[in-house]
Amino acid sequence: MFRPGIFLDTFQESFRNKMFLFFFIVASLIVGSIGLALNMDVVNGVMRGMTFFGSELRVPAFSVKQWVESFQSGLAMFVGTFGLFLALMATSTLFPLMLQKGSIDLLLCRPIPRWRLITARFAGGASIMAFNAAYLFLGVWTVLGLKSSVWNHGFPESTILAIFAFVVLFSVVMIVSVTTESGPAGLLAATTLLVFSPVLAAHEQITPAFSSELYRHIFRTLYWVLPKSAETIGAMRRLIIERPLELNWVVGTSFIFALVCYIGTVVYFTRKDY
Amino acid sequence: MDLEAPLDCLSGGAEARHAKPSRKHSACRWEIPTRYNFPMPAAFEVRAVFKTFRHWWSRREVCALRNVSFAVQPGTIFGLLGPNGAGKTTLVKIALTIAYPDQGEIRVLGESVRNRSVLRSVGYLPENPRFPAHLTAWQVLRLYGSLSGADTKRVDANAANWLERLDLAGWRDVRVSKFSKGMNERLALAQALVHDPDFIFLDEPTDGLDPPGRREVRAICRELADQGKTIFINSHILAEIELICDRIALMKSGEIVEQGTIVELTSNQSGYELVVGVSNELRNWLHEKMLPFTAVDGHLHIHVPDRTSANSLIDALRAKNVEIDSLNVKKRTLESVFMEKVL
Ligand SMILES: Nc1ncnc2c1ncn2[C@@H]1O[C@H](COP(=O)(O)OP(=O)(O)OP(=O)(O)O)[C@@H](O)[C@H]1O
Ligand SMILES: [Mg+2]
Repeated sequence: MFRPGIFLDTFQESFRNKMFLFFFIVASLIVGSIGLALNMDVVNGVMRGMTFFGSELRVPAFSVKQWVESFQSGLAMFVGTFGLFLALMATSTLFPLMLQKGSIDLLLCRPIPRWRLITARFAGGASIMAFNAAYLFLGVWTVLGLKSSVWNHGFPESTILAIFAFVVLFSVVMIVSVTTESGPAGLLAATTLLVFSPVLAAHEQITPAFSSELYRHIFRTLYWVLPKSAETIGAMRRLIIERPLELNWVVGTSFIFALVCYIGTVVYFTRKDY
Repeated sequence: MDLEAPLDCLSGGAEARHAKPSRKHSACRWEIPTRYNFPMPAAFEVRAVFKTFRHWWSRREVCALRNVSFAVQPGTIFGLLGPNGAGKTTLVKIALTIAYPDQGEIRVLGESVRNRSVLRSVGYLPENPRFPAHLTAWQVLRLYGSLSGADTKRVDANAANWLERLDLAGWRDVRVSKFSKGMNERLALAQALVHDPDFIFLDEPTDGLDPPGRREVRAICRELADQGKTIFINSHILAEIELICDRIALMKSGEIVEQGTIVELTSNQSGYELVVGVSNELRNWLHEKMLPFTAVDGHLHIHVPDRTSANSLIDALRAKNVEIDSLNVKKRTLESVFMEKVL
């Protein structure tokens, strides 16, 4: 029988500790300020100017479509870096809170397999962020669409990539914070991967500078094994501005990495004595 | 390791008890010694459980349980006594699959705990319960009740009932982060009972409770036992245990060193005490005979270890024309048994 207890409780917890509220309010502010304060001056499909909170901004004479797409990709980059970091920070306490002495005993003594407990917690954390990301992207897309009549499909689709990038790094938070029982350790591990992913992504430019073949090999292997967060976020931009995408490799290897983290956590968690 | 595999370690007696845990035990045959055969199937049965905590990064090993075996009959209140670090909590955690044994098997309500579904009928009050701070008392009971697999209607009815009974009705919709230690403990007890379990583990249930609270807990335990439920209490508060438990076991450094009813454990006499009037002549004589005595309020209390020496002493005193004021049989208290066996 499916018991949604832990899954729902994760939501409830995020509501009560204002984490959910924080993201929801930030997303609402972004959507609201675009909706209420942004006025575009469009003449024959070309942007002539715009006002934001009443003040006039000079914009290059892009077509509306170009302008909307560059706005959307800017927002996507912001969400994919700063937003992703905030989301990881907010969710990094989920596992250590559950594993505290005295609370974990109350969960493990139930007739529920351990993998289900940890999976429900993971799914809860991921869903909170997925909901907020979807709310932000769809909100911005709708408001911009209503104002400019540009209804591109790349922007709403890129939400899936944003959620994917989060879920992959969240699995890193999970394995590290479950094994070390420390939230900051999990956050640190995931942020390190996020920060180094652009460096690894540039391996083709960087490796020729290495003196030894061994280093080149190690660097390439790291690129191959570790999640490709930078490329996933980069792919959001390409999707929005309708450039060709080569996603299979990036998504595939990142997914395998996340899966390994998940399986590793489940194996560790189901065997550990608490 | 196959826990269903026959194990023989119980019948090995003292030899097996002191044996170091090793894989080879699981290969030998399992025979249940007669003293573990109860007419009714036991509600709780521990068979040759070993547990050593190891950390992969250090060489330190803590042997928490060594060949622990005993059984608890249904409808009784069982107390596991032992000093700090004896392994009481570890045993309960293994019974609840919170930790895993190196060897041996635990059966609750006739089923191996490897079959987790039996945990539906088990309630647990942990040592230092901590609830999610964002929940109210009512939400705590609903969450844990439903996680235990009970249906919502029953959980709601029981939750209201237990909150009332444990003086928390007025705190139903208050977040647990605002609770005092004792209130938290009461809520933890309600949580252990909210899904109508047939077997209840209480780890230090009266920790942090005021005297009326302790009394209420004792009354609840007795009522539950009268309804046929089995209660397993971990404690080192001897007075508490003495008041409620039908049977107890003493645990020391991971081993059961003594078990039985309180009457059985304390029935052994610890000698006799003769009370006679004080006289210098008598004092000197007692010194000469090397008999231990204490002088209290103008009387000498002479201690003798057994009946034969008590009779000889009486004969000798009467031959000297000493009047005997009283003769007392000295009973052991649970505390003296505890001190003797466990410390
Ligand atoms: N998770 C663990 N990891 C390592 N060692 C542990 C763990 N849990 C318990 N121990 C060790 O096992 C031994 C028994 O501990 P346990 O908690 O069972 O004692 P206890 O009898 O319940 O004591 P108390 O009366 O203080 O509650 C202790 O030496 C303790 O350090
Ligand atoms: Mg304990």
